[in-house]
Amino acid sequence: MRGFKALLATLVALTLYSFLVFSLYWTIPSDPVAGILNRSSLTFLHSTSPQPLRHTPGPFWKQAQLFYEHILDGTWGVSFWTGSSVLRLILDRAPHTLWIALASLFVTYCLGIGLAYLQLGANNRTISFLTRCSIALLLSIPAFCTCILLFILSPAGISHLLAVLVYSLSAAPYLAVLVYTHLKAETQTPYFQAALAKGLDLRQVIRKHLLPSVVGQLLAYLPFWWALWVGTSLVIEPILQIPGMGLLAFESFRNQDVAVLVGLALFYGSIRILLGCLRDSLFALTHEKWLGVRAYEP
Amino acid sequence: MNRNLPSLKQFWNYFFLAWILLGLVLVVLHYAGFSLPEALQPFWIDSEISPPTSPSWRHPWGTDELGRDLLVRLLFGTGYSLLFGLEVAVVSSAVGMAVGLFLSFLPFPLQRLGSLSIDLVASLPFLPFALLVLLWYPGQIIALGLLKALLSWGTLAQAARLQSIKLQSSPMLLAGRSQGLSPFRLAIKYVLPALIPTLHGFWPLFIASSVLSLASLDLFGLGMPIPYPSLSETFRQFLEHTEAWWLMLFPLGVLASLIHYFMTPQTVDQPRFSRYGSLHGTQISNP
Repeated sequence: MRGFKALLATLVALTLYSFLVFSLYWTIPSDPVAGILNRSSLTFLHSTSPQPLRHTPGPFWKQAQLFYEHILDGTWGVSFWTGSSVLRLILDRAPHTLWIALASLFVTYCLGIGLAYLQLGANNRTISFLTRCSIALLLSIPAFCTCILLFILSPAGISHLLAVLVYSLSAAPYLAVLVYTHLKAETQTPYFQAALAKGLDLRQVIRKHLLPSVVGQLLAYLPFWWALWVGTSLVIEPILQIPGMGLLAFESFRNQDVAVLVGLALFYGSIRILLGCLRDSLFALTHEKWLGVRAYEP
Repeated sequence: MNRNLPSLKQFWNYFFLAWILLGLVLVVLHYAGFSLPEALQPFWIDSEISPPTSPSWRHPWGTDELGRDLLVRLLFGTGYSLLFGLEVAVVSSAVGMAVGLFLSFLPFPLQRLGSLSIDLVASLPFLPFALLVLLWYPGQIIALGLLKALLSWGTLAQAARLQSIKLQSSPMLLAGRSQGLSPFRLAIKYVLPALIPTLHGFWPLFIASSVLSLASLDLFGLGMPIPYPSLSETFRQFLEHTEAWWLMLFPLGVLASLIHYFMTPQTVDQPRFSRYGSLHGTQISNP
């Protein structure tokens, strides 16, 4: 029953989100394509393709109906530039981007937890201080600057590896701060104090007792990581020339391809909503399993 | 060691504050039509050199590929970026606080609906929408700032809502309610002042995030209109002139310092901008 409710809430959220995207798109006045390319050139380019959304005259509800028809028939509209389905274009580029995203998520988690552990558990004050400084430094340097520096300094042909590194370096400090704050608060709890009083080593207590309690923070970080990653990928991929969704967004902007940009906004936001749903479900599962309490119930 | 001397960290903070103020003053003077000396004008091109030139007495931080002084461009870039950040922070704060306060006084089902809507707005990614907006309003920095604010207020609204709900069970507000004060009056007179520390915590984050977003767009020449100075325009030039290290080093230093100045104290250190506890003035000191 709880799962069904969550599914229903996600569907409602996705519908509302798509409506928000459409409303924002609709409120922007005039037609950019008509302003830049005239009608005849459009017809010449895509003589057989259907007319794009904004060229359809009619009131708001009629355009919204057309927008949802495009979504439901699985095309998500038609690209102004190539004349092919927007969803097809996105799915063609998605594997490049999503593999890098998954790899960088793994590295981010390892690096973030490692930095937090070092900052809290290092007996040496110098190591703790250096870790804190590196977190502050990584937080301050924009991802695209790291990307440009690594791009210039590294040999050619390792752009995918560079992308993973850049994404991880830019996202890990946020996770490190989140995990560190949580761990720091946990050190005030009686069970932690009791473990120390029993004579256990600080690092052992952190590893065995505190780190499992971080699961909630790791899950809470997922949607935030996605938002951070979307922003970074849109800037990094054009620099490294990775043929993923970030480059697609940039090319669509250059080609004034509004349909693809709207499709990308829809795709990115939908994934974030789904990740939020996944976070809640996983949190419910892990909360019961590890902490032995019924989640979501007082 | 003399205790009255500022530490290195304090010295750096003062120096950077002076840098920020100078940038803002220069931008305001430029807008006001004040005739600045030639060397302090952001669009001035030094025709006596072959750009890009390395740092010298004439141009302490070197010049860009067109022969414009990098130091002056970065000062103006800081000013413009901060004005953009301030625009986002002001609009986001106004909308976020108003929505958060309003929602906290509604019945719980309506609050939940509002919370869901806020989460949805927060899910909208900025950069794809910025690209969309830039198609219609190229170089319109105010439109870009409004879009950023439109997508940023959600987190503050949620924080304000939760804080306000917590405050509503405090003795001060219960007393106010029992005296027959309307929810609007309670919100404006008692809850809003208590939310100012929360707002203080969010402002630097709004500014840092906006500066970063603008710099990301400027990297491709999409943020500030082309002749105007920006903090990341020279990174693009550095990709073509990799031997010109000053095109990377100085802008990176300024940009990273700006983000560090506003963001890092809020996340890594103790908040610099929050002077009071989160429930300042709302709790009975001796119950």
